[in-house]
Amino acid sequence: MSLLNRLNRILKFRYCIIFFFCCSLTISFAQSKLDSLLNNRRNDIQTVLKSGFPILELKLTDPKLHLAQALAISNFQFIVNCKTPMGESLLNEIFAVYPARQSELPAGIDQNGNIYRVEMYNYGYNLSSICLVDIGENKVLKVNTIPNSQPDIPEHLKILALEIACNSAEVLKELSYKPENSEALMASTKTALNRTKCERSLHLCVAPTFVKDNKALWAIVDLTDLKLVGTRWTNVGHSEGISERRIQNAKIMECYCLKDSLYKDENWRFKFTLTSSDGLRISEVYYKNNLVINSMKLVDWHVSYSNSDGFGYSDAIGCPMFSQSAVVAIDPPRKIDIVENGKKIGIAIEQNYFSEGWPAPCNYNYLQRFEFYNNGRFRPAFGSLGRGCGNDGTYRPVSRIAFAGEQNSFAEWDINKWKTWQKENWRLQDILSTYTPEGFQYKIYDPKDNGYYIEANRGQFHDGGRGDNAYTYVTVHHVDKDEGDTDLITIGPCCNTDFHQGPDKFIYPDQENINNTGLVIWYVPQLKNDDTSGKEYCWAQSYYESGVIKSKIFPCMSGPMFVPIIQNH
Amino acid sequence: MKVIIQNLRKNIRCILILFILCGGWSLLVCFTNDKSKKYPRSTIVDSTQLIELGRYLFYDNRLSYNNTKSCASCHDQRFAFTDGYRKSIGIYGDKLNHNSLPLFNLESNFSFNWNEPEIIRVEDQLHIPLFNDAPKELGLKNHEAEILHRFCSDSSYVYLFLRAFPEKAFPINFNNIIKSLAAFCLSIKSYNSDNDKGILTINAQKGKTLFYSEKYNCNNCHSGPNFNQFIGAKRPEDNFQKFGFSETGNKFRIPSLRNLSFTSPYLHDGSAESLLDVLNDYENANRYRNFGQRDVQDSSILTIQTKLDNQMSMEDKMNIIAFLLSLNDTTFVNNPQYKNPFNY
Repeated sequence: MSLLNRLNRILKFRYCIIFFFCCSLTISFAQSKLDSLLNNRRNDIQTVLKSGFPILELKLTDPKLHLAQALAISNFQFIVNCKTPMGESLLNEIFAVYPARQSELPAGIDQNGNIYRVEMYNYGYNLSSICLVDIGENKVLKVNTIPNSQPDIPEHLKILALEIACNSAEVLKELSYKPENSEALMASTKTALNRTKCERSLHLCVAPTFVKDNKALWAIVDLTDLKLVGTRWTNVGHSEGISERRIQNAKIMECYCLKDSLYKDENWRFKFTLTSSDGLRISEVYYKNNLVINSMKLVDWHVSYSNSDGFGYSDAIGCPMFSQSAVVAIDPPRKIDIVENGKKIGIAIEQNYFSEGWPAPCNYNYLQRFEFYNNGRFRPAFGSLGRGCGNDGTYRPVSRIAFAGEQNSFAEWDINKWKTWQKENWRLQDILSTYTPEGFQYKIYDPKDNGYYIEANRGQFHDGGRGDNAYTYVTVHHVDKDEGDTDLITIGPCCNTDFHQGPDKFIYPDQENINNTGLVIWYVPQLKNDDTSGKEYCWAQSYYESGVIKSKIFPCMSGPMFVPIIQNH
Repeated sequence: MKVIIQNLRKNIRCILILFILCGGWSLLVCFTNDKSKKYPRSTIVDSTQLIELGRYLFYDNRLSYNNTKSCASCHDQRFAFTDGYRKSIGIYGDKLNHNSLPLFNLESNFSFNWNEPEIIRVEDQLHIPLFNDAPKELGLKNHEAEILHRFCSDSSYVYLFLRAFPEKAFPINFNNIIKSLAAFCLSIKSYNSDNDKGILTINAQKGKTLFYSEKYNCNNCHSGPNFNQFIGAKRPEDNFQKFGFSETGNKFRIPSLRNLSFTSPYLHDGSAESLLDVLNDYENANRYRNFGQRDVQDSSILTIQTKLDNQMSMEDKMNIIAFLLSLNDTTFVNNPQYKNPFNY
């Protein structure tokens, strides 16, 4: 008996040894995979920096894409920031090369099948360069450079970030186990973290996020320095993904992403397109045959989960197949009649964007809604239908409204009179903001005083919104340079609490005169979510009913109403 | 004999290597007096050095068990040393019990906690975020030695501690960490608001009159240099008012009215997003509709009851808010003396 026991013990001991051996093999294999990825990356960087042409190119097999990349990097304007004025090499990397979509092309250029878009990130200056090339004509059509911005990250950098996060000792310690890459959510979405080099997204940083019980662990990876810079926990509560889901990617792509659709009734006429990263774009808006709006769209979604630590996501929404974003359109846009007292008073175009697992933690559901009323009013509205990665988050959707006309001016209501703005500027809607007796905060008007009053949302639109607390920016509409007429990459960091939300980069340092010129209004509401029972806002919760999981939504909608000035004369 | 000496030499070499490998150097730095030769000490305790050490510790994530939080995570200078959350978040994402309290002019406070009047020293209050277990804030409980080792093994901190505590042989300990953090917190001053300077707009002046009026009597609770003292208070507990939550019987401290532009959301549970929400709440005498009415039998809420008889006009509310905003001190939230000393 004792012999058997001893044998048993020896066997158990052997199994233990084998188990530990296997574990250490797995860990060392994972570690060696990361080491190899990092070594390759560092070698590639060193090689291009020494070569005098410091651009990491994408390894492309498609000859058309390869040609597009080659055309872009041979253009002086595109690579002008690759070195410092002293001639020192700065690391640059091509992040994407793909056939340009119609929404990414400047007015007057149509996609002929040969136009490609090349996106490059400059790690040294933290800026993005976008190049449109025509491979049929072998020429560069347009180059645009946006400071303090980062394009969507490519797949190989996402994989690298995941490897860094999943093999980090800190993540292992916090989770008490080594996570799989597939467990990470939002791994390609850009983030920030105060008191690190990721602060205000000055470095290229992403945050693979791991949900454990009712918490989420954020592993913040600095892809400029190739290391994990910190971990943070947020409280996400418990909720599950719903079982009602329709995915119609192909139909959406074919009908709404690749071409403009037209809406027309007796009052309104406009085009609408699902862009790759600026949500649903409404363009060439006519009211009773007068062009009133060039375009309206949603450029970024900034979601912040800590004011002091400054981390969150700087995300974009768009087409399901083009976008790197985790939050994409899964249904086509839909038209809804706006009915009041049984009478149709206008129409709305709505577009939803989902994360796959919504309303489970760290999944998102956004809504864009454009309302057009028979009397000429219109309202671009945008909101969150809840959940996300923390129960004390702030959502900041960045919208852009480019007005028609080249002789516009802008004024704000100042206690008892209209005060015209002379220069590009911004204003925060706060407790000291004043409104006309009708509730108007601003107006945009032409020399004949035609135009629109702007009624800021203070919770009066009965759509679940409780007020916007919005930053409003006014900038000059430049025809000769692209400040958002085509698709914009993410223009601002996730988590700034002040006016540095992105549009400010089109105002400073040289504030231009805005009297009698074409104007663009940028509207950035600030919506704080709340999971407090009875006070839920920007929140969603799953529940069981008849054997399926359903969701209860507590939306937070935002957006100003534009009211024709004529109507109030 | 030669062999013995050779062996001894080998052993000494091994011991030395082991000593260095095991962090013995840091231990030596921590527990010997000889470092005074390397880092010159002052013979006089200089509170400036204490405050400086406190400032470094205040912003250092190493003062949390998992290196994710520092005092500044919940007390951010940009928000008058609060954090903008309804309730702050601990190192593991747990919601803390209350809204983060601002840190300024602490010398004028009767007590330092939302609902514990007996905490009347900053040092005692500091034990809560450092060692609190449920929920964990910085999570240092049972990890004290590890945390101290982090500072012992950093020569910059050894220098800062020796400078701040020149008379101590072993200065790196939690007593001294708490002392220096308290010294930094007590050094934060905010007396540069428009109201302090006597510059009030017409609306703010009207609001001030209303604030001190018989009608609203706001100053009955919000008086003193920080506008957070109950006029009749003689003991810390007198400054605690009962605001709803009658089922638990909690009492909460009267908060300061300075720097309100930076400290939203308001109230102990952060349930009021704006100052208008706060005034509406008081007007309705309904702190939190979902959790029951105030306990009207409790004499400590008499001052609140007085307000129930007076509905506030919107004009009065806006004027009172204008006065409250005149208590903002924008220089204090940008004062470099209180800023993060670390460069990244």
